[in-house]
Amino acid sequence: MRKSSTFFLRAVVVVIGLAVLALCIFGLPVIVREVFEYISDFAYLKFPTLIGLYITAAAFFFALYQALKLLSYIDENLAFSELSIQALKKIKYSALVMSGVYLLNMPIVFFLADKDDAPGGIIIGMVFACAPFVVAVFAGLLEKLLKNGMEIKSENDLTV
Amino acid sequence: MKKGSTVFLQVVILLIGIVALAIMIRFPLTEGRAVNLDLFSIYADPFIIYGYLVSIPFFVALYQAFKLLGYIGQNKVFSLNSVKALRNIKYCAIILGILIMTTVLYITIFHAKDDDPAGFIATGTLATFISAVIATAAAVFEKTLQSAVDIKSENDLVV
Repeated sequence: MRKSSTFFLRAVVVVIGLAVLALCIFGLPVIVREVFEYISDFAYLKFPTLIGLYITAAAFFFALYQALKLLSYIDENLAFSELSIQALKKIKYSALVMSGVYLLNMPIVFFLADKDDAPGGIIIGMVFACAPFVVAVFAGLLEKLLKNGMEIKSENDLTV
Repeated sequence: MKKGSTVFLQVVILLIGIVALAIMIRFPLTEGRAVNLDLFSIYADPFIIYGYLVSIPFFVALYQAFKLLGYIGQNKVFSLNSVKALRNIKYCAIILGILIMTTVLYITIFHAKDDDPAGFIATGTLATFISAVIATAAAVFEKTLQSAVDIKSENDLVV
């Protein structure tokens, strides 16, 4: 395995992580505050929403960390191993958590879009809720594939 | 292999393709200067045509991903066909990245003086970056899959 190609991917994962971290620190509090000034009828939902968004961020960082681990396993030619299957499983679960929390946030997005008269907002909210779900299905698929590959490999190791 | 997840991902790919196509057809009509033009001259604009040409590798890559998911659903993922599909995805991503980068450079150098294409350049740079990431990811998958295929063919020879 060429080390350079996964190195690039690892660098990308780190850059994405840093960007999201910056968004979490500087962006999220401001966005949530402004949103709830706009729909002030639901001000009591402000902190639950903020906490929910930080939960998705935590799940996201956890998934990124697992992706880093997975890439290093690929580097060490351990792609078809129990370790990488575990990493994919964790990615799948954190993506499901993100999807679920975003789905719970949908009513707020709905009220916001309703007040702003911008139905596009609901679509964007749905995309946020659906994208992690697609990632989860993809991770589940890869997990099964790796399991398949592992069986083939262990068969090979037995015969040789 | 459970069939549900591959079919779901295939549906997602189809949706992405349809949405991309719809945006591509709709967008030229909403452009400000299109107000006074007839349909033909809207779509015959060289830049619009270039945009459609650039999108070809994107749709080819989507089709290859669709095919790859089909192989997975048929339990034929550890085969040379799927390695080839991944290789095609890699090439498509590279071509797409280069074409978008060229466009960004062209616009950066030749845009009208009183125009400020900052948004376009940012989006284009991001798209180039994403293409590069997809190309490398496809390359890594291809290598891993190739090694599994090698092991499997060895297996089949032994048995």
